[in-house]
Amino acid sequence: MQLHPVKSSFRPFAKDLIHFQAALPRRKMGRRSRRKTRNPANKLTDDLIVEILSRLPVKSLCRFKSVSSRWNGLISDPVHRRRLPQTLAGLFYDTWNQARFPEEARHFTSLWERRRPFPGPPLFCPSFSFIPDYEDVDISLTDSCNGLLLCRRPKNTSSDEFCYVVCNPATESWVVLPDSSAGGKVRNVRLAFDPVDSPHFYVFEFEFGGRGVDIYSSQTGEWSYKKSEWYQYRGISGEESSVFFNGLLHIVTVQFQCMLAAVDVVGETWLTVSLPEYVGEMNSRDPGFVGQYHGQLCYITQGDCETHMSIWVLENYAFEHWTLKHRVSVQRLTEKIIPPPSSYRLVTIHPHCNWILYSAGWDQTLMAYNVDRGEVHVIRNLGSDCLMPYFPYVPLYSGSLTDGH
Amino acid sequence: MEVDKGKGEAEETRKVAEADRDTVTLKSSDGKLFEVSKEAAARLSTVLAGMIAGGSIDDNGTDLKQIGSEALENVVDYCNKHANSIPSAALISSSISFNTAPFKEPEEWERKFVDRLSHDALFDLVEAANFLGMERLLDVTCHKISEMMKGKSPDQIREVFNIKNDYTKEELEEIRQELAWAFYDD
Repeated sequence: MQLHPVKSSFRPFAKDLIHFQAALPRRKMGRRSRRKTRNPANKLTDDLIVEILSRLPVKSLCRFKSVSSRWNGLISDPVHRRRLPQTLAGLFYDTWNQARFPEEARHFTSLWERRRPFPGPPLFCPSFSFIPDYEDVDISLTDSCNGLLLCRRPKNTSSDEFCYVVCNPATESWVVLPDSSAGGKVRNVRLAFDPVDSPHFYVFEFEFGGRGVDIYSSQTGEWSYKKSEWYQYRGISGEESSVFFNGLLHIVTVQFQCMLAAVDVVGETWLTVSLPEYVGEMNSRDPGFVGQYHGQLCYITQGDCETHMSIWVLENYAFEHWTLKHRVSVQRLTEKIIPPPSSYRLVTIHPHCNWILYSAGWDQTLMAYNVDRGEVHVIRNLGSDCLMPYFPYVPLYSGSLTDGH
Repeated sequence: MEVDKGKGEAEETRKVAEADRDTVTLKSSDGKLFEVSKEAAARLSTVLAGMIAGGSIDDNGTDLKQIGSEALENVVDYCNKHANSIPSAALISSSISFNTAPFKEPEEWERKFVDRLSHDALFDLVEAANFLGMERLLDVTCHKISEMMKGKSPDQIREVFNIKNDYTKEELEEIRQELAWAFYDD
């Protein structure tokens, strides 16, 4: 019987082997016990274990962090991460506080790891230090979509004009977009990217008044202008919730009447769908949140006027057919916060489980609601100086942005 | 068998000269000999391909000290089965870079091949495939193991992989709390 301890920098594993070897002489080396003590799985190198783990669904992978400290180390290791499936890692967000310097700052908060298993720099540096001149100009984050971020970056230190930069913090790659027809003036803008469907990303820049949209395609490297074909001009003020789903950018619009409006990446298909629970003219209610739930487009109510959070999914665009999936009282969602607030703000829907993340309370407590079990979890307080919106972030290690590096 | 080394300047010429035997003999760590088709070995294993091209194949059995007879038998079996099956286009273009190429589902015979193996034999085979640089076999075996792992609890995984739980009760609870979303049923 021979054991071949593999080289491993992970102490727990080496320790296991020593225990294991020490236990050997006590056993009778008969055929049966030989078979029992032979342990091929324990001989697997880190590389092979990661090779096996890389084929698991992300949920199993996260669960197996609790198998042993060696496995936790392997799964969390920044080097191995890029080979493993990824899930919602955290949020980018800004804070603003006049009593502090700098008054405005950007942060990244990890959702699930309270204690980082590795010392060293944060996994995703919110200063985007990989973008040239990041220290001299104020790079502002405007949208995130499936691993890519859309930022505005001033053209030079003295100018109000800016250009768009799309970056991937996981691969530290970036690309500067050419000017749109707005010529560097601020407009409402959204990023659309789904690596499952296409390696290309799109940027939608909405004209004021909602008459049209400039769409940038990373495939052509150009902007193209399309006239809006939405029912009534749908103006986009900037705060509205949006999601890129099924090749369409969906956005909750508030002008005239709250509606869900959608447009595809080439500006050919334009749809408007009435929202559930939303009748009548524009009023003081919050327009709500739009996202993806269980592979369907979903609409979730939010805001000061709501007594419940309702989760609706869109079954059919043409018939404007929505189905109510779940309903929970605001009181239930916020009872763990002291004093309990009367409203909440949706942050995102977890891409790999039926959890809805929201924030509530004066201290902006980040919470998660498990839809299947009706359970409420407190994640952490983000602090009262947080600025909305938060940008959910799922790291993307495959593919690369062409320009930057 | 004689190898004409005089013609051996160009690698290609040497390969042709050596090709008068169409099998190679491999020797396991415990001294057992196995014959395998030279063509299949060279096609499926980068390490064996290198040894064949470099002329370091021993007619009396090329020593593979890291691989036990059970695992080597499975390797040889896989190579021979592979030689007999019609390779799909996906397998021929095997200039795959590690981990970046999309994984092609195992074919029916590959599935059957790994399904009959015990856990121990499977882990041994993963290691042998890795050692011999057999990307496809590594893919197929790792895929099989990951299939076994899906939906299993951490306890069950520890059992299959023979891993000792080195967490304290409190540490385990902390991880469960933090990653609560991953611990509920799918």
